[in-house]
Amino acid sequence: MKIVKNVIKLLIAILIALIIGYFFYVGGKV
Amino acid sequence: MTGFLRRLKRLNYRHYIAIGITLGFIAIAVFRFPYAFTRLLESIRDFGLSIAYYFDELFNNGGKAFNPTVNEVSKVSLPSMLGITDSYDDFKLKWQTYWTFFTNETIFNGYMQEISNVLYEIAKWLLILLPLLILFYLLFKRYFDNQNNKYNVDSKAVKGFRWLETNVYLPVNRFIRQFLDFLNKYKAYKIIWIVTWVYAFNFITILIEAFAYYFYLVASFDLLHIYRQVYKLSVDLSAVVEFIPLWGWLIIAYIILCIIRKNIAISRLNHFERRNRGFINERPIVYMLCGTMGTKKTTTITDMALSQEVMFRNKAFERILENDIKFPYFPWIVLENEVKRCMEYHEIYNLATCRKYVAKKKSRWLKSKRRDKIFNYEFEKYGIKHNDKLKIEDVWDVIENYVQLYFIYIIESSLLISNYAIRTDNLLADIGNFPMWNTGFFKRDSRLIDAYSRHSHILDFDSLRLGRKLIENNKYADSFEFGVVVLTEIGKERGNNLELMEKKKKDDLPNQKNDLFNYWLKMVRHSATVDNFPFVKVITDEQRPASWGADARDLCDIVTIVTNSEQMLAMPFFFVSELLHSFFFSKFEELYYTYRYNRSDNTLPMYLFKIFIAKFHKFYQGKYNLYGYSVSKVKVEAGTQDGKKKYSNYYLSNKKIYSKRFSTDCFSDYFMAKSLRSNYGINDLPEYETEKANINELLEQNSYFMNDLLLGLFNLPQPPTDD
Repeated sequence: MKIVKNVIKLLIAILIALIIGYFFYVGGKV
Repeated sequence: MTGFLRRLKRLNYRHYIAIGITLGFIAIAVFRFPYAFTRLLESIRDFGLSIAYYFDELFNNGGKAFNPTVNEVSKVSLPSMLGITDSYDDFKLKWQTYWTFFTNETIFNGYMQEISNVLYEIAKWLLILLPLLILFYLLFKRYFDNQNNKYNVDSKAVKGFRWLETNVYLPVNRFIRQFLDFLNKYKAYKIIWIVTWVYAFNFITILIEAFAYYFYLVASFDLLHIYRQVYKLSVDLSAVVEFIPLWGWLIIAYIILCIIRKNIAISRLNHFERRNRGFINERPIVYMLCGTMGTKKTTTITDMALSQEVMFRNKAFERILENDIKFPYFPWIVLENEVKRCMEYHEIYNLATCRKYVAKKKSRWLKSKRRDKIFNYEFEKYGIKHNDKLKIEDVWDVIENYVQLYFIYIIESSLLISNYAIRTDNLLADIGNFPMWNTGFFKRDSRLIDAYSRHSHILDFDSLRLGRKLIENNKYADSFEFGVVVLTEIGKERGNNLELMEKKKKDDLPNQKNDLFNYWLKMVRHSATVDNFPFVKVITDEQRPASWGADARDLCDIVTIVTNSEQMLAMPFFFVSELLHSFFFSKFEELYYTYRYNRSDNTLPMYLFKIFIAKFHKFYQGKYNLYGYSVSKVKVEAGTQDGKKKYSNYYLSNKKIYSKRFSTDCFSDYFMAKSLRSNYGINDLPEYETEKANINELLEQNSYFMNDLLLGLFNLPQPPTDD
């Protein structure tokens, strides 16, 4: 159960990192 | 000259290294950051002109004499960051373009393409790594096939590695440690390095510019130029942003994350501690904790006692202030110093002697009403009565309360009195004025606890008996006045009505019926009340409430531990380490013991794997020990057991309660002595011969039940009974 929770947290963290990455990516295109 | 050379030779060689590093840093600051100096001069100019403008605006001709330059763009051509241009209109345009691009499908697809490229790169590396991992795994597996009994024999590779450890790693490690100690001793180097980098990264400039703009803004209210300041800030910060590479920023981000998550953990633990204190405060003076074996009863009462001790100190502190401001001109420090002196001479050693001391002082003052008889208080000027709108208090009543509270506050030994040992680590900081307690539980350095720890006082049960005592003329018989009394296994000490049926009040020997312990329990607050607050709590534990006689139990709240949660971590953002730990540790456990079963020599892969796991496990365990906690669900009911039951949570923080606080097997020394008397251990005990015990084996049990059955079976006379 703990592992499942941690995997979900990791996936959320990757998603947040991708969203933040998109902000910078768009910035680079301006 | 020769003397100078000799002195140079004698100089610690680390000075040369430190000077070399300093020169290196300065060279980087000068050549890599040539604009830093110009920017610093500009900021000083801006600051000077802003200050001049500020004072001119305030006192002279409305700021016309000086032209502040804080809004001017720098002469140096440093790049800006994040598209912040010097013109606000340009920035606005870029901002709009940014959001148009943000929702642009092509841009989004491009980003997706970038992600797939990264994934492709990762996959490529995996393709190279996977066969290597398989190869490594196969090689590793080969070790297990070679069974041997070469006890602690190092392989050639391990020998080589150990040589490297001894001759490279350890000397380098020692050198770095010694060099860090050296830097701590000669702080000037560190200060110069910090100043150099702060200068090179324009941090000094940014600070001066901030003050320059502040003085300009408060005089001019010119908010229109805020954007220009943002631009200048981005230009100044670009120096550091561009200098530190991406991996450096990742390390900095990780360090910041560690600090943030540590602070969150500490504040969450403090929050739990406050909730626990609220729970304890809701309980009456006497309460009892119950639960079956292994439900952390003693752990919980120890935790409660530690919190209660801190709360007593805090309460004494709070009341000291309350009494202090009743007579704000009273020189309390004079009184405090006298109390300290009397404590040193053992003239004051409990609350009764505090009261006696004040009474003596008061009687002397009444005989001759002089300032020096009332601790140099200017009583003629400031008066000796205080009206709190409920009653009129005399200064001597307040002094009496103050002395007792101060006594409770400054006692350095623990306020815990218990029938098992508890370690306390509250720190009293005193430089000769008003001492301050440091009562935090979560920031103690485990390496130093032995240096300042105190332990709870040994409870002499005679001091809790108002009637017959176990020892005639016991010198501690009347010593108890206030404090936190912690009694584990109270039922075994006091018994219940059934167990005490044989004991009579008029027995010659002291027993639970004639020692008047219950009277003490009922009247305990009388000896401990200072300034209307009872500085006493009696916390007990037992497996079942009925083990303690109803006369005493009815006074209590019965707190029953219903469930204990698993270990949780108050520190957030730890899931990556959790996942890695659970993966590596389980793999290690499996491999290590397969290896240990098959062979006894030391080979390099296992050696390195073990070192890595040991370090990682230490890190992981350290975090759980510092920030781990568990939640106990507790049920509270009145001692009469006829009221409503209330459920609540109680938090047990690892750092607070498992840091050498008490021994869970606190009575084990008794069993140790008992076991040492025996010549037999578990290995010497006879075993049953088959899965069914025979008659002789049943007889060997020395069981009442079996003996009765077997005596009946063979028609043997039953053993005589007491009747």
